[in-house]
Amino acid sequence: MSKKETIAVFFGGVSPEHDISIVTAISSVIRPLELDGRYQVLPIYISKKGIWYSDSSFKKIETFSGGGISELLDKLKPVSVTFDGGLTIEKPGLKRSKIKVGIAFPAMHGGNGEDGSLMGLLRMANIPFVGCDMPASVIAMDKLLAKQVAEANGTPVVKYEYLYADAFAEKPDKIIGELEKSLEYPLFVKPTHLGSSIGISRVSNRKELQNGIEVALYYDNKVLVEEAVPNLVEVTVPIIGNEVMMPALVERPLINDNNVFDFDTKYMNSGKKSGGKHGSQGYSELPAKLPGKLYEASIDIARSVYKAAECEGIARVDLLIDSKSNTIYFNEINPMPGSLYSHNWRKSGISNVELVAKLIELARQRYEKHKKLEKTFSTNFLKQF
Amino acid sequence: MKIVVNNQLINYSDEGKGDVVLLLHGWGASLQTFDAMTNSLVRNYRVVRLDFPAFGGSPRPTNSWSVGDYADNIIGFLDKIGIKKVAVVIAHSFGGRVTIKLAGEGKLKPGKIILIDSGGIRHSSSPRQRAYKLLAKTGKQVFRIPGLNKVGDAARRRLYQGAGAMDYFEVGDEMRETFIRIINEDVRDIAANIQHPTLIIWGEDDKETPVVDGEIFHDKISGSKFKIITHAGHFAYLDQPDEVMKEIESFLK
Repeated sequence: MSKKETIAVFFGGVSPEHDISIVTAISSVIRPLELDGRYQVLPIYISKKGIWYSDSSFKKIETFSGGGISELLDKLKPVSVTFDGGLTIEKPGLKRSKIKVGIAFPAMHGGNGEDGSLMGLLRMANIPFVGCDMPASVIAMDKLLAKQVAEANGTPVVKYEYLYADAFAEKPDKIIGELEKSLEYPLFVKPTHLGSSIGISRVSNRKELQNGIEVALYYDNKVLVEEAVPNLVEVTVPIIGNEVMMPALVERPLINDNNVFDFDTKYMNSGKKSGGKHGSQGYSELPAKLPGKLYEASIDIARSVYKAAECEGIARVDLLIDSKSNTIYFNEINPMPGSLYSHNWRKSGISNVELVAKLIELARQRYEKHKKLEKTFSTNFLKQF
Repeated sequence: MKIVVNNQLINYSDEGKGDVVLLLHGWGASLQTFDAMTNSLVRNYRVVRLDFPAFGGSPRPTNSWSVGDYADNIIGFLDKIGIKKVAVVIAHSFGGRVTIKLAGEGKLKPGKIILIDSGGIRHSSSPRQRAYKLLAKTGKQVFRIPGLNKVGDAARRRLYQGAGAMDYFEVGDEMRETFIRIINEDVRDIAANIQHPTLIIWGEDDKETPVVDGEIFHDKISGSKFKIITHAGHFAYLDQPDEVMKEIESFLK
């Protein structure tokens, strides 16, 4: 019997979305991969301190939910990584083992992972990996950059401004004055690099704007301030694919009393408002009941931005709709949707096992395509020295 | 909702209209433990709750804090959200310790104070506990020896458990200094300065802060009322919510 190929699943990380990444990795990646049975699954857990570990117990959510993870990490030694024309993980200990990684599956959320940094590392290691490549991840994980890309692509975006921490610390009143001149309340204040709606505030006056900027700056050095969309209907479109895209169903998440689709609404309220089941699977209307041609138009815009930002593998495009004027605005791209949005794919007819298999296939296709490109250039340059 | 107070992010909630009731939770708890109480109070009051730094949705402070630092943070928070007058403070355990500091030192002048199973009395340890604590402390050095350092935390956990100091262990390295500073500060003499009408509620079976602590505060705070709740432990307001709410409503009339 031939040896199974090893898939390294990366999760955790130094990010406010560390815990969400654990759930994504275990429930929506590792479990389906084990059910698939074709691969050897190697879980690589990156602790909140940024230390890399691997242990078979990381395949179970109880390892992390039971409260004993600190004790376990104290006993484990970190893994070491060798770039040997590929990627080899060495697990220390009495049963020291070296494992050659065939394919990587980043299941990271937020900075230091989803933002392109891990993808850069995997590119350098020259192995196929699942999901968006480095440039698309960088664009997607910067809300401002993504907006600018969409704008250049001709996609409507809401009116926005942005600010940097240093400038705000120096002249807060001047910056707030300029924002008030340019934009009309109510406004949304967002850290540009964070996902899962962390650090986002909806503000209606100067005092709230000041507080909202301070909160956003607690998480990020760059802050996006944008006008709220009136008569808001918020929808999201998960897409998989490289050149050929396949959208899932348009989904309408619920928002909380503060008009923010925030972390608690997404992950903590267990979908109470919709009478749903658990976490991110119970908070939405699926498929979204959109009038007229808005449903199809939402998919078209999502596809257009996915392509413009050079997304590959998987991403989720969030849109804001003014339900009176029927204007659809691009909001943001999420290059690694929480739990892969497997609940949506399932309803679209693609099981979690099939979804993960498709993503691996897409990763291989991209890798093979890149491999064909000439990457060296022969010269006589060094002979002159 | 979140707000930044002197570079510290604070998670809070602000519900209802009317006179302000401020709810302060205990060590290791969060504002959510007041959900049921808030649902009752919000009919007549503006109920403001926050997560103390290091708990709930408020991240850890970057350095170790004293009770005074936590008290100052409350003042900064109230100022930031524009609250000038607090009608009532209802505080549990560690929140009580902070409230005594605030009111006893004149930093906050609430109309009324309700302390539930409040912290703030420092007890001398039993000989067994002292022996364990010493062992845990020396053990810390022993377990730094290469080869032994990997079993250190598990062994230390057992030692702290025996010493009745799991709170200390569970808070993590960064917060241990804060925890030590806090439990070492006895606030009974500060409580003696409190002139505000005060209701002291205590769970009869409270093991963390025994009923005698409540008696001490009752003795120190002139004119205070003392109510013992039967079949209730350290979280009296969760163990007997109706009974505690009845006492609160009667005191606030």
